Amino acid sequence: MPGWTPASIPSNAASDLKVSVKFCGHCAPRMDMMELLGKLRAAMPWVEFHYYQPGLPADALLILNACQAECASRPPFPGPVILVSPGSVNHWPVPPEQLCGEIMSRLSALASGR
Amino acid sequence: MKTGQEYRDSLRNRNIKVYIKGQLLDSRDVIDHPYIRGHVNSAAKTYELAENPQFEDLMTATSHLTGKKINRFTHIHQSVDDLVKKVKMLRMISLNTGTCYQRCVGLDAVNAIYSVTYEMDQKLGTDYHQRLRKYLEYWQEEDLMVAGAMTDPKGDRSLRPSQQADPDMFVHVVKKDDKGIYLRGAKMHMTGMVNSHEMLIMPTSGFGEEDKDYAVCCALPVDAPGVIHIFGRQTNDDRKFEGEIDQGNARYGVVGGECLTILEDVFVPWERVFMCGEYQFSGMLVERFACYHRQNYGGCKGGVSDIVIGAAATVADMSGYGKATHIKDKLNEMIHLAETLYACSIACSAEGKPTAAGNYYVDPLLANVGKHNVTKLIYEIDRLAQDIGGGILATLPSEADFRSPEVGKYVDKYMRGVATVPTEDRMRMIRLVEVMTGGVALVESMHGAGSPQAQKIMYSKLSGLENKKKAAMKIAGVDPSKYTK
Repeated sequence: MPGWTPASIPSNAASDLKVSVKFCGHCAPRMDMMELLGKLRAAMPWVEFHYYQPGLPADALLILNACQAECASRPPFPGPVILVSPGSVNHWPVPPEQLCGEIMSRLSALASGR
Repeated sequence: MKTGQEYRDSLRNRNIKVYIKGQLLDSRDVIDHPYIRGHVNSAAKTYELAENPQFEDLMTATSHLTGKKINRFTHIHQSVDDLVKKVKMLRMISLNTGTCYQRCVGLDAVNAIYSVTYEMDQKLGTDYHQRLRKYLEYWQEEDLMVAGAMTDPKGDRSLRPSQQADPDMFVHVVKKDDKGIYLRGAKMHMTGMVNSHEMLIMPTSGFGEEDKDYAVCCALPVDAPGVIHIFGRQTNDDRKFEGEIDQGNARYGVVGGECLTILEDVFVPWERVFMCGEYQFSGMLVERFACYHRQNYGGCKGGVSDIVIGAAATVADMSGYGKATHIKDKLNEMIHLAETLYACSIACSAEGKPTAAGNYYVDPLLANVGKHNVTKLIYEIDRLAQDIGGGILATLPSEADFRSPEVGKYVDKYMRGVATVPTEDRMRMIRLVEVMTGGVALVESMHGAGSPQAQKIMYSKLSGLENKKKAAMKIAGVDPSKYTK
């Protein structure tokens, strides 16, 4: 897969990084964010990705927007939030083909920092 | 919330009377009839998508009555964000169905009735708003599909309801007692009525005191005693008895499946009556419903246009001319038109504001402009799709010929475009362009949510023409006060 390399499992990860995932609703699917999530799951098997539900414990909230409008609801979340759109991560420009790698780097850093 | 399957199952429990081509259908099997099942699939999508985490941000909301998570099609808009999300939801569902999913009409009706009953109660001392809130709780809890029923047959359009030779040309109250009211007349053009649970009856226009019996708004089950539905015909509807290919959109159908609904002295209990004789508020209700409904069209037709654009582009690719400059130019023009439609729906939502009842209402001028655009731009989008598709849209042999042991090999051979693309795939795309760009699909864009003249009437009322004249006079150095009456 171009633009990123598989993440190595951090020594302290112990396969228990939990990430809540929230989608925008895909009314303007410039990018298929379900596909992106599939790539993340395949590349980071040590991370538990689950769909966001209020009150469900998680180490991070990953908000996946299918277009640049970034209109997905932002639920209150007491931890790090990674906001993704086809051209950015947390408002920093990231080419679409590098999104997966960028998100993986951020999640790996979170796991290492715990 | 109901699942898609629970929605389908619940429809089988109705005792609904539906006639198609002179035949009364078995009420348990109505949703399986080839004329109807595509519309059921499409409406079921509004339930199925709400279950999917990928779409739930648009498809669900929080009830302001109960705090529970509900399907957005049962929601009273609580913010500008709710109005915007409604439009985005519609575009997204159209992208997944390529057609109408019918459920917006009831949503628009209840939002209009919500604010009008509140204002009516404040001015007249009635208690319609509390009745509606109670009914709405039931609606949300059961996740009902509720059809909106506004347009009457109208008879002689030059005459008011009470002047008609036949008083039933407009739905009216024929009797009242301590338990409720009795309705007679008919409603027309209802989208999704035969696959709904309930209907909301609304007056068809503003009425004077002489027509107060026609100022009626209420909710009733679609299978209430005395209710008869006659399903409307569509262009090429008998193709639905054949294979998939010739239908174009075999799973979801074309537009919403409209019908004529007869009300033969139908009883409605008082707790389901939200207007009965308050003629002063009938025009306000019609206007609010119309504006909510006109808000939708850049969302749903924007999404439908996405499919038309994608289909036309695919036909061009499969035929070997997808890279031609004039094709790219036409596709870009179609994209421009589709996004123009969408922009108006977003704009009228972004400019929304709260009503006295607290629910949010769109900017009426921009909502009307958006729907008016649909009466024109969809025709241009579809014209360009037909231009790109070519004459084969009108002359493609049938699926039966393609499957024929005798001539199938010729259809397969001569209907092929690019050698690597299977003929069947090309035929499917051509048929999709055909069914989406002609017949009822176009008429719906013209007249759904009101004909173009209905939108133009709103312009003179809402646009402030006199202020534009004054501004122009000031620019030209003319004193406006000399011309102000």
